Amino acid sequence: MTPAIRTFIRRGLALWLALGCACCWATGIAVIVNPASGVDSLSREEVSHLFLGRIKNLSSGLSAVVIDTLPQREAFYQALLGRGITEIDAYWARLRFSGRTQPPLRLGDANAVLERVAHERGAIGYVDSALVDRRVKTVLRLDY
Amino acid sequence: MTTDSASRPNPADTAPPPARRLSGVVWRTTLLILFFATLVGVLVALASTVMVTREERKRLQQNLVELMQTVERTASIAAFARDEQLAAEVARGLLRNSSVARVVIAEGGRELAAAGDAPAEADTKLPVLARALHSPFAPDETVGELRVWPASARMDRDAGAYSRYIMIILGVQLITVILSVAWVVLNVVTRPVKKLSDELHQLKLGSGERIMLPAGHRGDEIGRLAEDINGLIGHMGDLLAAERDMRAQREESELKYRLLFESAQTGIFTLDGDGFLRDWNPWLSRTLGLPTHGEATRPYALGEVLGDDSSRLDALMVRALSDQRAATADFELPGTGTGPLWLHLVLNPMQGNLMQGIVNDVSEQKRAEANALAMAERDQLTGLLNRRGIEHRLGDALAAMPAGGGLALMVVDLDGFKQVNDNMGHEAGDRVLEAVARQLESVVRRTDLVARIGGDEFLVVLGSLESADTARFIASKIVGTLARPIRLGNGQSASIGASVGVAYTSTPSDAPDTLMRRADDAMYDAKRAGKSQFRFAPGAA
Repeated sequence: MTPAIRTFIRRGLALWLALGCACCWATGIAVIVNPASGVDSLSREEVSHLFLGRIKNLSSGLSAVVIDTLPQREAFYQALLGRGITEIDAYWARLRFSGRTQPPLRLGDANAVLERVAHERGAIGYVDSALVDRRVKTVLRLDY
Repeated sequence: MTTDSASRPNPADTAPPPARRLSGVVWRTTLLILFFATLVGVLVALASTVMVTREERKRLQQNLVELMQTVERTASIAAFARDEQLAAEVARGLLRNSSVARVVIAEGGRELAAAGDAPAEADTKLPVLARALHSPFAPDETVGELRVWPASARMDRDAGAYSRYIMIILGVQLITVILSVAWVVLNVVTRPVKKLSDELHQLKLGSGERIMLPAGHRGDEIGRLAEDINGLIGHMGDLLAAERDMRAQREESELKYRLLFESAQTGIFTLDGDGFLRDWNPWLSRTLGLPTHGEATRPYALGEVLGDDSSRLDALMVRALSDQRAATADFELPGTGTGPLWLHLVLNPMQGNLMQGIVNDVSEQKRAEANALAMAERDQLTGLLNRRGIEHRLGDALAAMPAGGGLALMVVDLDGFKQVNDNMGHEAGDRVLEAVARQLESVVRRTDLVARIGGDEFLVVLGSLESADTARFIASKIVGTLARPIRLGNGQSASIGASVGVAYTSTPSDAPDTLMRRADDAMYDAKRAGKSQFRFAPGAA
């Protein structure tokens, strides 16, 4: 197999993957922030540190208000950390029982999250990527 | 020597009291047991202390590791979330354990929480345990460190207490063992041995006493010891009795011999190789005028005692010692009163260059012997020498002749004696012979010899003559004297005469029988010439 052929195959595969992702847009989770938060993008690690209470401020310096979307919670942590929700709950249980670190706010649906993020500069949350509108800014996209 | 003084002295007089001996053995045994048991106990205690300390450390470390594992998850979460409160909670929780001196939960270079006091440098005998804290969601990611300082002082205290506990148990055990062993040794070994020792100590040998077998030891070594001792005692008693008997016998025989020695009418003495008397009996003292043996102040030589016979005595001693046989000799000593003292000496060689001597007084025998000899050489009737006596002495007289001198031998034959005998009887003849003998003796010198050599034949020997003239004078005197009648006492008298033959010599080497023959011939010449005269043998000067 010549290098030329190998390069062609690789590019072709990449193109197919890109198309596939576009087709599946509706099935991802978008991590969203207030457009005025001064944050353009966040790494997966930064996001997980924020949602696990390890980081308390956004990279721009704003105090972060972390919000869980209840229907999406399990899917989100699975996608973000690869862990089940029970493990995340146990983690928080320990912190909440004797620590000072508080778990994320929990909101009942995606709209409430969107509303909250849109109105609070330091807020960070996640919603089904299909629901993202212009009031918020996507900083990380997680696929199922 | 009595049998009492010979018996063995009672050792109880000199030995220390037996009670102290018992305590000595018991104490020594107990002290030795105590010493070794203590030694072992101390060693065990030391070893156990070391081991206990090590074990305690290991246990503590293990405990701490387990403890840290227990709180690791929470500590990780606290470190991950950078939650000081949770971290402090964990640290306080850990500190509640008494083995923990200090806890630090660190996150990214800073102390998230610290609890407890850092122990002094000197007390940190154990290393600080550190455990990396990983992120609860990314096990590869280290988010902090959990550090725990073990409570060394407390651990040492615990270990010490534990060791003390062990030592107390050991000590109690030790004391119990010592007491038990001492008790057992005392009752099983020491007491019976002490009892044996005491009995043996107070036992009087030869009294027939025996040692009691210690109760309960009939079959074992102590019982056997007692039996053997009894056997020895019995054997020794028998030996003592036998020795006593023997000594009594010996004393008896010694007494016998002493009596013999003291009262023997014989001299008994011991002589050494140099001729000195070692001992002697009273008879010898009395006979030789020695002091009693034992009171002598100087050594006496036998030769000195016997007078000038020492060279003969030396020869006798040499003979006895070199031949190893009895040697005998007679010694003559100047006696007191009744003539010389004759001693018959027997020397018997003994061991060690010594001689035993026996001396008998043989003076009587010697006298009797001399008398017998004298009798044999004398004529019974006249008391003159007989033929044998004159022959015996003639040689001596010849040998004793001085140079230039002479000796005359005269044969005197009586004339007419046969008629006297026939006419007047034998008794008268005997009286005549006796008278002739006295007359012959009266005409010669005291040193001259007169003998009767036949029935009526006499012999006269004149020694040490200066010339033959003296002989002639004496011969004529004899002839003249015997020519006179002899009174016989009862009014009778006998007339006889004498024919004399004289042999004169000045040569000592002349043989006596030659002289006799010449004198005899000359006497016959005188007879033939008419009797009652004398004739000189020819050849005489």
